[in-house]
Amino acid sequence: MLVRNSQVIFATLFLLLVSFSVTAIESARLQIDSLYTGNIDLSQLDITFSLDENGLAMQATADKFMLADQQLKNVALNCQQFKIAAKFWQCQQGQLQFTHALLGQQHVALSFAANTLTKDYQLEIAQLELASGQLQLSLQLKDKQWQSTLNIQQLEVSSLLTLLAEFLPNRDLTMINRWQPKGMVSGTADLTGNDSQVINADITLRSPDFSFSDDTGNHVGENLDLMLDLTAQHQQEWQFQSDLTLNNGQSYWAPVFLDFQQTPLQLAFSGEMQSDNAVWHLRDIEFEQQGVLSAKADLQIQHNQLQRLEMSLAPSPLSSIYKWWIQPFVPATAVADLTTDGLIGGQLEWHINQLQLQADLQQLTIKDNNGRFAIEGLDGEFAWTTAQHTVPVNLSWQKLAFGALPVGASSLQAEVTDNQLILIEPLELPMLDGGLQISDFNFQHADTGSSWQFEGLLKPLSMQALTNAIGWPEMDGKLSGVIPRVSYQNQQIDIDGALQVKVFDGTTIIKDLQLQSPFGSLPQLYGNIDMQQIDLELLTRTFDFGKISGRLDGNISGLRLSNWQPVEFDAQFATSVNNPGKRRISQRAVDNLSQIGGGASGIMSRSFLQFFEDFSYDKLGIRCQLKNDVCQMSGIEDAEQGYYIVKGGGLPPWINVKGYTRLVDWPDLLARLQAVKNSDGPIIE
Amino acid sequence: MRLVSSFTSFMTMLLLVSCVTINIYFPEAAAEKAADRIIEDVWGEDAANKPATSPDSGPKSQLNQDLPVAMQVLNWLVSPAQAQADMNINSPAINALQAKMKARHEQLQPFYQSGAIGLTQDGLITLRDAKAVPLKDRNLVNTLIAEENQDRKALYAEIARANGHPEWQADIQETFARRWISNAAKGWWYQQNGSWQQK
Repeated sequence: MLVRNSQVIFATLFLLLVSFSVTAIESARLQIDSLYTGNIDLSQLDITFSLDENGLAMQATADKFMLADQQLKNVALNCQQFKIAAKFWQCQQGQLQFTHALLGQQHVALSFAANTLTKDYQLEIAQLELASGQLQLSLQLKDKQWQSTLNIQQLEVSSLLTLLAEFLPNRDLTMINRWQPKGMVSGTADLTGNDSQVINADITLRSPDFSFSDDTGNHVGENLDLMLDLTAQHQQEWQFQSDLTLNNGQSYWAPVFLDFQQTPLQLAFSGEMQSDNAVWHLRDIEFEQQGVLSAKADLQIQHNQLQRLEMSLAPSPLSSIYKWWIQPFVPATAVADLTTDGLIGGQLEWHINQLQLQADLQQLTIKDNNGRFAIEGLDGEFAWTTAQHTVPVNLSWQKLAFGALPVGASSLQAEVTDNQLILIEPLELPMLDGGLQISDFNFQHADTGSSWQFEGLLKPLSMQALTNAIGWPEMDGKLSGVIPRVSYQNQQIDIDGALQVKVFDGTTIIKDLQLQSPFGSLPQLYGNIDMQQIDLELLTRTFDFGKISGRLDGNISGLRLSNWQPVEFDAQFATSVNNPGKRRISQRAVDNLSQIGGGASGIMSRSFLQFFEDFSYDKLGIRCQLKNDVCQMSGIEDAEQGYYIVKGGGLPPWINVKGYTRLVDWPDLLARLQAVKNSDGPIIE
Repeated sequence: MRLVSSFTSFMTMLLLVSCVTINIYFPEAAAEKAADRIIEDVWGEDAANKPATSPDSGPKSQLNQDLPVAMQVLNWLVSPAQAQADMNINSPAINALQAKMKARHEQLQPFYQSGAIGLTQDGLITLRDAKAVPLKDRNLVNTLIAEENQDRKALYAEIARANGHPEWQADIQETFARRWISNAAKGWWYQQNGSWQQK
């Protein structure tokens, strides 16, 4: 009540004074020491009206002017064209000067018009210096309807926030400051409203160098050249349309890094907000990252939680998607370092606790840069679902490779239900002249990790082709096997059953195979190997070791390969007890054997033994227990101070080869196997 | 007589206990020595506690070089004291890992120095201050950290396995955790009781 009264008093005084001055004299002056009305507090007010050929002018100064708790000092208003009537006053091309604690000294252009009868008000402010930039404001108010245009030029966001610190609620300010926004912003905002409610907003913002970062530095934008168009309408609820373009700068949104100079980004969407249940619904989202991907989406957020997401991806190059969107999520995994090619597109639907995706693959190439696996010409449709219904998977490929082992073209038909993929037809993997048949394959994904298992049948594969493919000395024979079950869980592959290798006219059985962390730093392979009736003649010929005839049995138990290198085993080989065959050993083979045992090379050729082409033996054998890089050696039986590797027998000439060293350095032994010289070892009797 | 008898049984007890001790307990000192050897190799000049000469180069050079390598191995293994005190870290797998980590250290070093990466209490490394890494290098650093940690875990497991005691893995990791921190260069950051400290 006091406020209203004071305003009335002020206005009456003002008008009386004005009407008096106009009629009587060319200029009039009013001085008031102090004036206080509600939220206006003026001191040392000095108003001068003057009349000249241009009309009425007004000049007003005040030492102090308090308006809505803001103190302006040294206020001076100069209206060159001032009009005044009973219910109407207007100031055009006015100049206003003032000093404000935060805004500093200001010199702004000001025009206003007020019609208290029609309740029409207009206000225009220009050249307001604000946060290193300029602000221009135009406001029209009729009754309770208002319309405003705000134009800002090169406002420094961080300075603006310092200014706003006084006016914004602490909670909002803390939230904004947590993102540490920086940069110059220019733009316009056209707003219309009714009373305190904004009804229409049309905002355009542009910044050539906008930056932000959260506390952790995990969500950062740097030097972003951004353009934002936002329009919004309020009827019952807010409706909005937005268009964002990022042309320069970089962003890191852990773990995704985007460089907008290399791949400019455009994001457009429309949507609505239901304020009573805090639901945001974004429709027609169009996301385009130039040269990488183009996606459309629709999503719903409630209480800041994503409730639903539907997305479709137009066929896009896998190489770019892998580089920008996949690789950052998979460091130090099997797929951390790939070369990819081809196109991928698809759909994704996500509701709380439910995911369904479908991808179309077109001529994909996926190659591990460490050479562990590769697939080429991958085509078809891949799908996944966490729901109870079934989605089909149909894939085909031209080439596949596991390490150096090539696999031919093949195709796969499967179904996915509830996080589980099941093969509906056996998968044939042609390998060289044989192949692997996989049946009953199923793959499960759980929060604890993935697991899979299958039954395998290895169709006979020629050792010749296999050894050539993997770069070993060529061997004759066949590899085959029935594998009742191969299973993978917790980074471990277990292979039940046995692989049978028919090689060197004997039988080798590989069993109890277990592979731990196949794609880890140190893959661990465990297994046991049994050999029966190996024809030594074929074996020695293959490895160019001289010539030994006879049959050999052996086993390698407790074999452990770390990073594909043998580090532990107990291997023993000896002449077969049953059916040992004709047993002869050539001069060169003896020479080589003694070298491996650490003996001098060429002993044979330097001694009288050189006159014999070969020797007969009764038994030969060797055992090496490898552990800690040391091989504990023994032979077929102990001898004085050592052990026999070859024990002579049968028709002379025969020969004994003895070993003396019990503990042999394993790398040294390997080196010697590749032909090493010198040092004493076996003695030939 | 009675005293002698109880003394004998006491000594027998003690001997038994000693035997048990050797078999059950983790060889802490040997593990530390092994850890230091690997750390000094991986970190090179950056290892703060690097002694003037490597403690292991001594015995080796004293061996008669004319002896065949196999004999050297024999001599080395036969000496019971040394056989017990050493922890074997010379498998091809360990050497391969060590070489990989050493090569990677060149890339990691500036990030240890800048405080972007810190040493954790459990013998691994982690991103400590993301803001110290330029945006374009963020993924490189994430990859380096993931790969280094994968190699470190594999290393701890492999040392345990190579020494015939897979169950030592946790103890070895714990020993390494202390030794990495102890060997860290000045200015590097490490975790202690959950908070970050600078050397």
